[in-house]
Amino acid sequence: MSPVVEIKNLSVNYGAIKVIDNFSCEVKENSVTTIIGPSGCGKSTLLRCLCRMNDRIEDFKHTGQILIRGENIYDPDVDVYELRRRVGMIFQKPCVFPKSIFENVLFGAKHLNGIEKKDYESLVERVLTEVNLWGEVKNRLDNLATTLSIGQQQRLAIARTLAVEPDILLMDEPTSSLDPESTAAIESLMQTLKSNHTLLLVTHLPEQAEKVSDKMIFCNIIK
Amino acid sequence: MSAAAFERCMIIFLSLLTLLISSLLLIILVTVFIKGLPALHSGFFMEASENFGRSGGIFYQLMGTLLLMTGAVLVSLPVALGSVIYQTQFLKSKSLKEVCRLSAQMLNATPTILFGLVGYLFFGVYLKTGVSWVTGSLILSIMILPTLQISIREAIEAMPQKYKDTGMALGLSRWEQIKSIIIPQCYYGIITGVFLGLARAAGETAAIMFAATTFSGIQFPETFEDPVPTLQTHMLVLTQEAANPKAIAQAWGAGWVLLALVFILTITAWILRSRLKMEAEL
Repeated sequence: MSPVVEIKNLSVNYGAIKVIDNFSCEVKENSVTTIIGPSGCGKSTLLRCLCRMNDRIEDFKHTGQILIRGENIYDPDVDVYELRRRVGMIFQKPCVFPKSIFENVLFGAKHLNGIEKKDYESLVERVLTEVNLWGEVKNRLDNLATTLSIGQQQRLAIARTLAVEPDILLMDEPTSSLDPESTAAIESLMQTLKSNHTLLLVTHLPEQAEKVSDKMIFCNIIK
Repeated sequence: MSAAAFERCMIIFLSLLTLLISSLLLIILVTVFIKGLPALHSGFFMEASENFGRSGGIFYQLMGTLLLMTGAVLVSLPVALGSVIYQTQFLKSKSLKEVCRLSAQMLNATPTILFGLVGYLFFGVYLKTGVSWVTGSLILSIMILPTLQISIREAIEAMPQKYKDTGMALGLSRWEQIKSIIIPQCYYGIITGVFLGLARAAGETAAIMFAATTFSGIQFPETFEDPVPTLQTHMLVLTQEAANPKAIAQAWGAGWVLLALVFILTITAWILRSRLKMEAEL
């Protein structure tokens, strides 16, 4: 089976500073791949490259190739907005908008073609159930999302990303601002998510990497 | 003198300076308040001025000021918002950004009479809008552009990057990010800018006195070519020309209303700004 993500000889520079040096790897479908290493070794930069979140940084330069399902994502013909929907990203600190829980889940999905208003409710229920949040919030979907606990906010952020139906999920230290209980919830969620998605996780916790991953990649700071 | 004594003297001197500056505002406020109060009778806000300003109210002057202010903001807001969005979201070059920022600051420091002159030549003469409220609104709209730009830019730059990152990661296009994230998240900053702009336009006299306003002859403009009476012109003409103490009192009354108007706008802007700070900390 051909890999979902293939990185070939990737090097990244911010101006004169080299952040990633000649990195290659492959990621299999429906697996959890963990990238582990000290802060500043370019883990987050690597994830951000996979959904082209670095495009707007003025002095960002890269060489090498990133292929997703065989397609070079830095090809000029690639629709970057479509790419970012297929390759969802979860950040370190959950970010919810000062809107209702319902509106937050739909924040990205609303802009997709082919989703009608009548489908909103079923979509919200489906993705919130997927992240095990539905039972906790079903009676207060109109409340502000900012009233949720941080752990709940992170699950909400994952639900919001799932609502745009990504194929690959990038998680950048998703549990680093969470308490142990919420961390365990997210870790077990990763296991269920991988049946339908391919996950790439960045973490600095070796135990977490050990627990959740099918494959581990170790990074070091460039000397 | 010992070092400690010198220091004490310095502190007293500096505190007196601060007191002087703070009391200046108070002096202006109290003077206008006391001098203006006698003119404020029950009909002052609702009546037209009579006998060349010696009696009656300032209804049409107030309407004129409000009309010019509103017109100015309606023209200025989309221009300021659009240009700040371009500068913060699309423009990559740091030096060009700096040029934009500097030019806004220099525009802000330009003597307002020059806005009036150039604005009148361009709009009034070249575009043939004449001496009219339209010319006045256009001139004021340019004059308040920097105020709006600075306020909107401040709000957009204070917006946490995480909101934009989140929108971007969800695959929102640039336009969708602007529409669904930047404008709603910076809403209070934009409105703060609007109120500060309104306040600035309300107080402006020099830029519009010969291009848009009239002392008498017209109450409320009926066409686009009509000039308007404003509180500012009313005060200016009454204090310059009138010998009659009644007319002077009327001028103070108009000043009272103008000051109250600017004060309300500024305080509203200030309250909105604190909402904005709260939002940025969320």
